[in-house]
Amino acid sequence: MVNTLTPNSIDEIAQIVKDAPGPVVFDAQSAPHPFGLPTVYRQSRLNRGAVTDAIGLENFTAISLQEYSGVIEHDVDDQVVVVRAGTTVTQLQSELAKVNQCLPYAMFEPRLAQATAHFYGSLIDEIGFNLPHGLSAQCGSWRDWVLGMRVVTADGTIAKCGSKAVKNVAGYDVQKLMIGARGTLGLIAEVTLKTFPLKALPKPEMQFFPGAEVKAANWIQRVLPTDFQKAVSAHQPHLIAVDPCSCVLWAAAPGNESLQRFSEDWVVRAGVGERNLEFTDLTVIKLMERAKQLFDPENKLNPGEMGIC
Amino acid sequence: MILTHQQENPIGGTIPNMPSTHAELAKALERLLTPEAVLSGAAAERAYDCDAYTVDRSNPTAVVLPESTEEVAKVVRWCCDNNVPFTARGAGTGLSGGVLAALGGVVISTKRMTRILEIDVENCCLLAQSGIANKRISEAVKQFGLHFAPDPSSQTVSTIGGNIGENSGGPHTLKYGITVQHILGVTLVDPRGEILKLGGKLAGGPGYDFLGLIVGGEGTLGVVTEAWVKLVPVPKAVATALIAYSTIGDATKTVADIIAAGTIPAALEMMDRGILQAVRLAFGLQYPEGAEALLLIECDGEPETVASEMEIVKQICTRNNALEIRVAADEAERAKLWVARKKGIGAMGRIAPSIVTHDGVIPRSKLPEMLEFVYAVAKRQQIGVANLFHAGDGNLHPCFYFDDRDPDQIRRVIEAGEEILTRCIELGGSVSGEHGIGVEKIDLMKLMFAPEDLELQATSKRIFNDAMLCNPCKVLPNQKSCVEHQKRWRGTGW
Ligand SMILES: Cc1cc2nc3c(=O)[nH]c(=O)nc-3n(C[C@H](O)[C@H](O)[C@H](O)COP(=O)(O)OP(=O)(O)OC[C@H]3O[C@@H](n4cnc5c(N)ncnc54)[C@H](O)[C@@H]3O)c2cc1C
Repeated sequence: MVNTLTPNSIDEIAQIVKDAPGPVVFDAQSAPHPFGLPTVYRQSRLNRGAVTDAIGLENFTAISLQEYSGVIEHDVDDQVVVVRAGTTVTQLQSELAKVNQCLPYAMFEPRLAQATAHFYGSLIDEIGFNLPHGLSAQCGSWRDWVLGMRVVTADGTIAKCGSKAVKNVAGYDVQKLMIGARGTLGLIAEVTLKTFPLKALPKPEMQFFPGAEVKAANWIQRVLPTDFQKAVSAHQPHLIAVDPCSCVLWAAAPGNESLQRFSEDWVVRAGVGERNLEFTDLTVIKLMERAKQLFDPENKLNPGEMGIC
Repeated sequence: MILTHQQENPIGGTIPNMPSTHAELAKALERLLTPEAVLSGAAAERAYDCDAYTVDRSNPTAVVLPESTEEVAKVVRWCCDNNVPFTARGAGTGLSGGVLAALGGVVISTKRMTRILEIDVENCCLLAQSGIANKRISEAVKQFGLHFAPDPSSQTVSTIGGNIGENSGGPHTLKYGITVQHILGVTLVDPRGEILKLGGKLAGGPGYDFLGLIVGGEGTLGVVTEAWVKLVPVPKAVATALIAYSTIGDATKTVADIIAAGTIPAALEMMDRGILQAVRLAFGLQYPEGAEALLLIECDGEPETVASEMEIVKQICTRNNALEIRVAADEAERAKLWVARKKGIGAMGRIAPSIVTHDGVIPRSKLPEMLEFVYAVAKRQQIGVANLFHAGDGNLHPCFYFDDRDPDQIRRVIEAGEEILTRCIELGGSVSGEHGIGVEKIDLMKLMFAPEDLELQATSKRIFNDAMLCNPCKVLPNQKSCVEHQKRWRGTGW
């Protein structure tokens, strides 16, 4: 069986990564993210730890950041918070709410969290997966809120990117690469975020469909505004929620069914194994492989999680 | 003349058929494109030796004026084959030396790449070649009630490629964001000459965010030849107010209170007495007696929201002891209120032989403290200073005026700049909010980032650029072959 390590300092995280003899996986606090890919590690875990492949589960080092959580620093006047990446979104929101601030992120319909694939998981997961949410058209998303990070790289180095300034163009924006990278380029340990005044929060314009409370999305699609109505009609029976502002649709497609695609759209999925995340553009795949090779030459961090290598 | 990079071949090895003189190199490029598409000779070298940051200069060997992605790719591939450095250049209004041909070589100008290729009104996006002036995009879609939101003050000339290179902001950044939030996709000729298309009409898809890296990459990750930009509705109503204060403290407190109230004005700009004096002298504009600071506040959006926001703003200003609040009644008055902000630096230029404008960021709450510091430094160094800044996001632009014929003044100006930017870092800010690192601030990167942080940035750069040919000597310190050159530029600049 794998022992999930629960470090409680960034130095400890770095040491674990440095010492790990084989792959290092970031174990979600609860269940693995449904939109994740069937990595070797996940497959082996599903088989109750049976060693089913060449790598062998015992070679994996699993880290959970559940003990590495909480706010490090909150400049209320500047609306900037520095927080450990094991903090859950729920935890962070309640901290911020004490001073009438928030993150404009998935906080309005807690009972629908499951439906739209927001698990109020820890920041490391939410930023890693970077899934659409109901206020992205109005308030942006992680790439707009993350001002800086401290990450642990594949060789166990602690490095900082960005700053605490709300406007900063000094150097390359490495933090943007980490967002949505599902932990494959570095382990996000601390995040500096821009916060919003609660009273300035716009109302989300998401629409929910019957059964949204009990269904879980396995299909998230973003289409062009000109295709939005067509997509809504096409997916109607399966729809859970839609956001007309960002033209995102959340649906529960029965079985492994693929719903209709539209020009220039993109989709992320759950429950269809390797097809959860599909890249078709060869130049993009090549670039991604190159990035992975440079950041993590031994393919140590969350191997297989982006569907490349 | 022998090319310098031939002796200091950064990649190593000898290059067959290496053009050995400027004239030969230009001839080869003429054969590759057309004679009309190549500029060379002393005049061209001088015209393209720097951008609006004129302290450092370096002559290019030749300048090319391609018209398409394919032509750019041809030039880049030729440069790679012949081991010649190359640098993309838009309008050359950059303020950190980003377009400096640091090791000589080819300047790839986008001057002839100004076409709009597609306007998709319904999906609110537009595809243009990268040499188009920022303002022209907005003009082209004005008839549809749309515009391109990032508005650097240089927007009538600065290009979308340059805006992407520097991830530029503008007075309306506070509400609408900087360039990166408005770029949906690019066509990039990568540093090996391959054509890559990243993103498109719909942003935000899964995968690594390469676009987020290219925007702000200062031309070191390849040459952007086309860009998909986001268009947003032109606000239906705009209200502009100019507020005078007798102390800097009251003005900065107003800024903090407005942000804390959850109101996000479209613009929240501040000017100090130095700027007021300059504008008064240059344009004869009058401001209230005893004014030490001015705030320019603009609210935009739906008419009712604008009216209620402006009401809140006025209350906050009054509560913070405003001397006077002028609200523009019409477009003409609005333009007048903007004069101090838009022409402040120009006015400084009129009253002093030379000016240098700095760009630093601090957490907003540190504004009063930082200003005190700026004044103290200027006093100690005995140079004049005026400040105008994007107060809403803590981005300050101290502007020093001096006489550049006096080497000692130059030294003091440089020292003062470094002191101020160092203080920005100490206060948790950044050495650049919008002008970029270029060659100007390369040494300051080490103050802001530890070696391991810089190594992570270097790793990201290597995804696209692992040689020394594509815009060398920019952004990251300690690049091979650059240090010696740097001394030389500094020597010739003044
Ligand atoms: C009067 C004045 C006012 C200004 N106001 C502002 C302001 O309000 N906000 C602000 O942010 N800046 C401002 N600037 C700075 C400058 O205008 C911006 O940085 C602008 O975006 C530069 O555009 P450009 O076309 O002149 O680019 P250039 O100066 O030609 O190039 C800038 C950088 O981008 C790279 N680059 C250019 N084209 C491409 C391309 N096609 N592909 C890849 N890289 C490319 C270059 O290599 C260089 O590193 C101002 C400058 C002046 C002189």
